[in-house]
Amino acid sequence: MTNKCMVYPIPEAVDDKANREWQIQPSQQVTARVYPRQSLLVVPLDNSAQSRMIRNHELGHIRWSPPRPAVMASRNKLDMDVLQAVEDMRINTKLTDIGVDTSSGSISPSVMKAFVDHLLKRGDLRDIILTMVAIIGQGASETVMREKFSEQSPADKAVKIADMAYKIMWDKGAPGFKDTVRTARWLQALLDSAAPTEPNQLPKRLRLSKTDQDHLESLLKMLGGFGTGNRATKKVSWGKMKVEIPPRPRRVDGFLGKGQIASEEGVIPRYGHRLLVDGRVFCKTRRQRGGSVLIDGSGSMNITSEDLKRILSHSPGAVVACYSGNTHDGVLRVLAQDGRQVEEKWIGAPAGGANVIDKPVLDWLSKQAKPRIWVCDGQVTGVGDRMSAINTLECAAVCRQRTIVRRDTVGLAVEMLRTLNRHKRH
Amino acid sequence: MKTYTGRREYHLTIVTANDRPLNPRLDLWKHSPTGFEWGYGGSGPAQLALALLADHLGDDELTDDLTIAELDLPSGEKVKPDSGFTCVATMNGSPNELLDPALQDRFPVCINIDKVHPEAVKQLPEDVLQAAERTALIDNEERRVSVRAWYAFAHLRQKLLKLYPQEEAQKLAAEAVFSTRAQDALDALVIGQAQAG
Repeated sequence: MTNKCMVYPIPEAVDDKANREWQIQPSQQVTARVYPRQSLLVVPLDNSAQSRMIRNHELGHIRWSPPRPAVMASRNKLDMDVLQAVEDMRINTKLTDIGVDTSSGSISPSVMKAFVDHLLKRGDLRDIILTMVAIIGQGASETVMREKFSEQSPADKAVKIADMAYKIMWDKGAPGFKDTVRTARWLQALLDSAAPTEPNQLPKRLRLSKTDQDHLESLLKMLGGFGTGNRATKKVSWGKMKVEIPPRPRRVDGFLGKGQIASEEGVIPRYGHRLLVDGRVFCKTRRQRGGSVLIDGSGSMNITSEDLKRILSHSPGAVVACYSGNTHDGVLRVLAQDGRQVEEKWIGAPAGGANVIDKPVLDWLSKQAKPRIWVCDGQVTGVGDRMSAINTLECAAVCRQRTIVRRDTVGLAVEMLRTLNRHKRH
Repeated sequence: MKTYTGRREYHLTIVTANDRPLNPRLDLWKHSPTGFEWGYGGSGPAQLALALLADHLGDDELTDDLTIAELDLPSGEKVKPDSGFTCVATMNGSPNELLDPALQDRFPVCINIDKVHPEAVKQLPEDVLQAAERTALIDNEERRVSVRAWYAFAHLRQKLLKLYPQEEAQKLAAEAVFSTRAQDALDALVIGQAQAG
């Protein structure tokens, strides 16, 4: 009945579709995988425990995964690798849950160690996080990876993230594919918000700057506070933003922003091409109009009109705006722009005491001049003034990608504005 | 001893038995009214085989004519088919590929059975039912698991349950029946029993 060298799995026993004729091919140089639409299973066929784990993993995909994961990823606006990693975790942990032996893992410990070393050497933190997530539930392989990653920062964050993802996945009992999507959305939002410059990309080297490490640490701390339920994984829609631009009759002197101009004097020549034009080959920094300050006027900030005036007085020449929301929408009011400020009667929260429009106002801020400062305690909400980790991560992502600096209180913001204003030139 | 000779003359094939033309015995069965042939598995060679056997046996023991057909048993008793006698046979694989054309010709109706007989799977416990139904008909012989094997596994497991705890009984039964595929078979059964989706 059975060839001694080949141990064939039995996909027919797990497939719900009775009329499918499965073909099985040994995975020699190819990664094991299943093609449900072609009824093709590519798996290792040797008799080792690791190969059996891989076969069972693929049988789990046949039993539990949708046939077209790429379609599901695009439908849910998820990166395919994120969805795949989370789905692998679901399959592994479900196998363990129903009593299939997964203790051997899918790779022998010695090979696993080399693989982990290679991952750490390559240093792609996104890869590290996704691999850690995908390996959860794989017995010995998980143990080796967990130990190795825990020894090195910031790879140790990958272990924390994977553990949190696991808790979210199993929050409501035996997970279905919708739980994979839920968890993948959470992970995707986290990866996006941890990306320092470009979306969906963490730094290639593991030597994260202290700021980046602190940022990742603070994100994880914040996510811990949201627990594992809907607040962690279900996004709340953003409210509709209305921009209010009242007249600005008051002229304000001074500059907050910085600009660079070509100069005849300097130390290091920067504009060599100007040598024969006007001789201004050096670069000189000067104060000019610029900078933007966005103030969260919601109830949690407890901001008074005096606080707003303090900020206005410390940000001459900058765009200053304040926002707050009602249940379903919010108003962004521009208080100062182009060296002019609004009258006193406009200085105050423009709408109710809710946030609701944090992300739309951050998008607005990201189009204003640098430096961009957001005065907010970090409590962001969507429609109905409801909070969600996904919403918070989205705002964090915009801040990272568009170089927006957040300050928790008016005092801290004023301190920062003072620093920027220190060498004021009129 | 008889000597059978075959030769070609132009487009004719002439077969003789002791230098006398061999009777093609078209009265027994008309495989090839146009004459004998050899070297392949078609009707000409089938007619030649029939003629050779009929000539060798000296009587019409291979005849399909029920009125004269009979079979000699080792005891010496002669058995004759009753009126309306028919023969039903089963085989694995395709008759077109595996049967001699002459023999295949005697089974004018062929039915391809693509499902396990319901009565056969009825005896199996529910947890192995789906696996048995679907694996018994897999084309690849290395992958196929017969209903008999599943039945043996279920039966042995039942017996061993009296001596061992369930998990061990199941494992021992699987090892006895499925050999190296034992654990894979057991795992597949467990995964198959879990709720889909």
